Amino acid sequence: MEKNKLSSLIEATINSMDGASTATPAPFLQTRINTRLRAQAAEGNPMWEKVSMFLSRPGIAIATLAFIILLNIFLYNFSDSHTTLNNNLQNLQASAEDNPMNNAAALFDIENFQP
Amino acid sequence: MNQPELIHRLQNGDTSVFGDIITLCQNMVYNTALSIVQNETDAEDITQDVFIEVYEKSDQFRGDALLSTWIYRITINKALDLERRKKREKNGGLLQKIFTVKEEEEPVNFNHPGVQLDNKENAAMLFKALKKLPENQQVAFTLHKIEGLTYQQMADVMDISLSAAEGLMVRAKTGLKKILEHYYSTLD
Repeated sequence: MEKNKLSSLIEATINSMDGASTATPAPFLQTRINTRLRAQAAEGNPMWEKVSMFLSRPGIAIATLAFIILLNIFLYNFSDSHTTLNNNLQNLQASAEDNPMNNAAALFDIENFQP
Repeated sequence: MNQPELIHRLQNGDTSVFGDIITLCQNMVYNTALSIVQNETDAEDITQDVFIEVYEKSDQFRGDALLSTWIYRITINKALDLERRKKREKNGGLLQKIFTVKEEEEPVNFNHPGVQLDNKENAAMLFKALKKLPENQQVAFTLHKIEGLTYQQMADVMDISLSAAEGLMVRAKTGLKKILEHYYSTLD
């Protein structure tokens, strides 16, 4: 090929995209993107999805509910007995103040009497 | 609505403007991706990935550049990532490299849908030659000659100085001339 012809062909090739129109994506691009975004949002965090699916099984849900009710009953009783214990301690303290011989510290002093 | 307003509203949770951003930028994203990967299906996938990233990472856009500049950067990164991945897959493992005779890879012909009919052959040859250029020169040529960005806009997208952008274009053209000279001389 002639040198001049070759260089003009190369120049034409380099400039072949001049005046070319912009390529456009297939229609409904926005719809496709939105669908993908929605699918991603629905997937969410796979670990939490598994946990929620496990908890939503009827057997598990009933067992969890029963456990929560039992826990509440236990805590209610525990707080009741705790209150009773507190009351007993308060009574004991009051009686110790009334009668110093009932006081544990006083008993200790008597038992470890120093000459 | 202008670009800063669009991104500002998206950052503030107004997702209704996301459609406007897609409408505004879809052609530039697709055209750039297509010019780099030279495959319509891949370019479609990249375009979707780009807008999903824009939606998910809009809070990371600091506003120190135009929205379009930021979107161009995402597009180029995704397109180049795909090209690198394809190259890795093509090259295969070490054993495959040792036991197979290496042949000169010839890119397949790509016809850009926007090219006029009388330029189709030359444009196909241009895209073939573009694949042989270093990545940064390929990107520079795509942005300036195909996307029609100015040197300054190209420098902003590539995060380089104006003089570096001009130098890159000169090297890209010189490289293309050499490649094309070799192609056309072997055709004789």
